[in-house]
Amino acid sequence: MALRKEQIVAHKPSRRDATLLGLVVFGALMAMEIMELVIGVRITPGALPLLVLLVVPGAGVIVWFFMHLPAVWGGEE
Amino acid sequence: MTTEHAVEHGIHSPEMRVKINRIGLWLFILSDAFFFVALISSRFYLHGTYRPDDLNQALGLGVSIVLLLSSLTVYRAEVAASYGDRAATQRNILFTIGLGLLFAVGVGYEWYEAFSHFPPSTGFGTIFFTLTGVHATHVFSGLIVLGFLWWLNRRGKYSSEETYWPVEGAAKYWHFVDVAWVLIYPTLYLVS
Amino acid sequence: MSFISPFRFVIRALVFATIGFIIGSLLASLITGATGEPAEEPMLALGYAGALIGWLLGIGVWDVWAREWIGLQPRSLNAQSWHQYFRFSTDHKVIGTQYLVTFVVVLLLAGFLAMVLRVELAQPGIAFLSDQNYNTVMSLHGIMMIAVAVATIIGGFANFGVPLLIGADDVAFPRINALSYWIIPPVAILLLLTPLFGGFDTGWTAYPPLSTLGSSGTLLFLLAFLTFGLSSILGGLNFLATIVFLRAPGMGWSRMPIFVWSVFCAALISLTATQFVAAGLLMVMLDRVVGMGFFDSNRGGDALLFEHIFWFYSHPAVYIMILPAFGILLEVLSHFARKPVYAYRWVVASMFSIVLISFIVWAHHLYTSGMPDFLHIPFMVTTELISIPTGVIFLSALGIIWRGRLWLTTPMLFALAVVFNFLIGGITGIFLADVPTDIHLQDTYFVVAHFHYTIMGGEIFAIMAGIYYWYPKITGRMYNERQGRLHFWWMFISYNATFLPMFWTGVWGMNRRVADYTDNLADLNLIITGISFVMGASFLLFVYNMVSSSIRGPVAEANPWRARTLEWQTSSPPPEENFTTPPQVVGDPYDYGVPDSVHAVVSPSGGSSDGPAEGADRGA
Ligand SMILES: [Cu+2]
Repeated sequence: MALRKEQIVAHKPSRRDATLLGLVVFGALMAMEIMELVIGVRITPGALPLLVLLVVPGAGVIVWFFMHLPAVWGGEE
Repeated sequence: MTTEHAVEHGIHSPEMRVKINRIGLWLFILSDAFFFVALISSRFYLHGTYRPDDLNQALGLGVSIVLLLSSLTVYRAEVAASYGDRAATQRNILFTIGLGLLFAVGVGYEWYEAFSHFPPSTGFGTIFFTLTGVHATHVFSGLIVLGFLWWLNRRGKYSSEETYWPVEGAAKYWHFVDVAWVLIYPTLYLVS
Repeated sequence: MSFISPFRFVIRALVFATIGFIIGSLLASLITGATGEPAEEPMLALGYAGALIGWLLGIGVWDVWAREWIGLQPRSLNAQSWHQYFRFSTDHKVIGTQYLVTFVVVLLLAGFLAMVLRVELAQPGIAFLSDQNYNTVMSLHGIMMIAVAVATIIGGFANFGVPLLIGADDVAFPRINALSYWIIPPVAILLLLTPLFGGFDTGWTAYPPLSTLGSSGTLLFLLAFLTFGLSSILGGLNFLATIVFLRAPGMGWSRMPIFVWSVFCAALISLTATQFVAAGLLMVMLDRVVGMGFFDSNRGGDALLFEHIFWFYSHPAVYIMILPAFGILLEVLSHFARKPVYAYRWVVASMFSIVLISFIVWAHHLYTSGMPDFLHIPFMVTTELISIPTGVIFLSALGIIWRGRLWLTTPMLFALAVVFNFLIGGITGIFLADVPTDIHLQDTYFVVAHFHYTIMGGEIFAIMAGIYYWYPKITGRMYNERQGRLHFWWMFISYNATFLPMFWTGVWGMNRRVADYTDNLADLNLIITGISFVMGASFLLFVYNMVSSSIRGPVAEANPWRARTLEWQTSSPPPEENFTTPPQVVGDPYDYGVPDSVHAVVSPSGGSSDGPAEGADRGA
């Protein structure tokens, strides 16, 4: 029990790193959103494939980093 | 219920409980995602990539950014809770609720505008009001959960890293609502 | 007072539901009052939503769950008394029994409706029902039987059985489990109320535009279906988490009983595909209540969209019904033939391929609906493809029977009948999968006969096998074997005599879902009606046996079948924590006849009275 708790702490990123990760992910998502808008307004018709190329990694980033998908099969975090 | 058996094999140990809860929430999210897939496919089945000219693009981008920002704040609430930082958790939950409400106001204003351009009884209006409406329902249920969290966190329920699962769970759900919007936004506003 | 006290939570739930209905419908009338729309259906819909919440809080969600949300200590409503069957108990054995009893009652009610239909169909022309009433009876029979088919195994047997078979003390989410049961009674109430609101004539498939028009009974039916879907989703979620996390130590994936695998696969479908029918039903309701345009071509919609969405759920849904039925089938065959499940790994692989392929066959229901022609062949091919893994499971059943020492008890007889009936159901399915034949057979009694052979002949017979098989474990008493065998032969013969002739009436052009038919089919239909009443009567014997044995039957041993799986290694009925000491799994569940093989080591104190599991083989 005690050992396990230490392991959790050891695997946990420092709070500073975690905060930084959040900001980086948010920045990437903002960039994605603005690129989407430019594509959507400028490229008509034919925006769909480009939007898919942007949206899928965008959603993936949220699922991977914000929702901690890897924690499902890995241990903690 | 906590028999010798259960304790021995850790089924009812707190770590195991969190693991089970986490998978349960993921399964729920997977399931819910299928609902959005059904609605988004209907948009393309019925109207292809048709887009009316009256969409308020500035507002669309605005609410999207607000919701993404709320994902950042809820992420920070979760990190704070995982370090047992009650004050920061409390602050960030409050930020998230505020941004969620702002998003809801934005969507409300969009609905007000959309009623005159493409009301729900028209082809595109049907899709627009249904998708944004179903999504807004998710936002509201998320806000209610966050409200309970705020109340319970104030009473110190999530003060340690062992007990912060509800914060993690609510954050996951909120991020999922964000993911859904990341898909809905281009589906409604940007394809053409 | 002592008479009321067992039911006080039900009474409280009804009071809360009434309050919820009033709040919901007032809210709806305020909204519609502001916009000037007609108020009746929005009031019904929102009122029902309020009533559902009130009902759930009243039955015990408040005590067991919601108190936690505002920082109070939740309290359990479990108790060692029959009172807990009438409130929010979280014991999986209680919930499984609640499901089983509820759905056997629904089965009998829906069966009674089928008898009503058969009386109307005894002669051509309209005898005593109007067309509208015939449609309502037919639709109610359909949706109620679908509910029975979906929920009896995965709600009843899976709830009672899975935690026991994997050596757990409960499911992963006991409160969600109780929730999934307690949202069923409102479904039943809604369906029973439909005749008071003009009935509904869409069949269970709820196709628009019929379902967006019509009387308010249709709305009640849509709400009921949607609620039932929610229950199904929550059940699926629970079993997946349970099977992944709560297996007893030593029970690796390859040592899992085949029934558990089948529930796992069915749960995958019910978790995901059900959301599609929920979305489809929501869209119909939006069209209907709010006036949206999903399916109305005047408003930019397309009715065919609903058929795609609906069958994207409803084809996989037949595998929610039949996969766990296969699980029970192989389980029972193995224990009563004293042989391992033949080609166990192939069966598991086949079940997973069925899950995957079942998502890409849905449009075989749309051959005659106006879908583009180029889609016919691909969907025909995928549909044929799914018969390969189904055939593997069928061969496994034959492989178990082959040269086994068959112990012909009632459950075994029913299991053997599943093999026979499903063979007929499967072969006639090929004619419906192939486009050229389906175009002629579509919407005739050939289809009716086909799916009654697969779902009734396959699944309901498997449910009967399961009920007799687990009866001593659930009730702690033994059923009457003579009455059981009599029930089997009575039901098996009259069932086949009822449905086999329908293949011919179908080929000769008798339309399904219609109260009338051409005169040349009069004799055959009269015979079918006569025999169907014989079949209906066989259920009375079944009910008599079940009820009287539960009161007066001999006390059951822990392991009357000398079976090896874990549920038989604890007392009948099991204690609240299932196993008094932890089971340790050390071998395969089905190694009958392998000397010295053991499935699990269980302490004898809670286990079978005649020694530990390894002595349990009947010496095959
Ligand atoms: Cu099908």
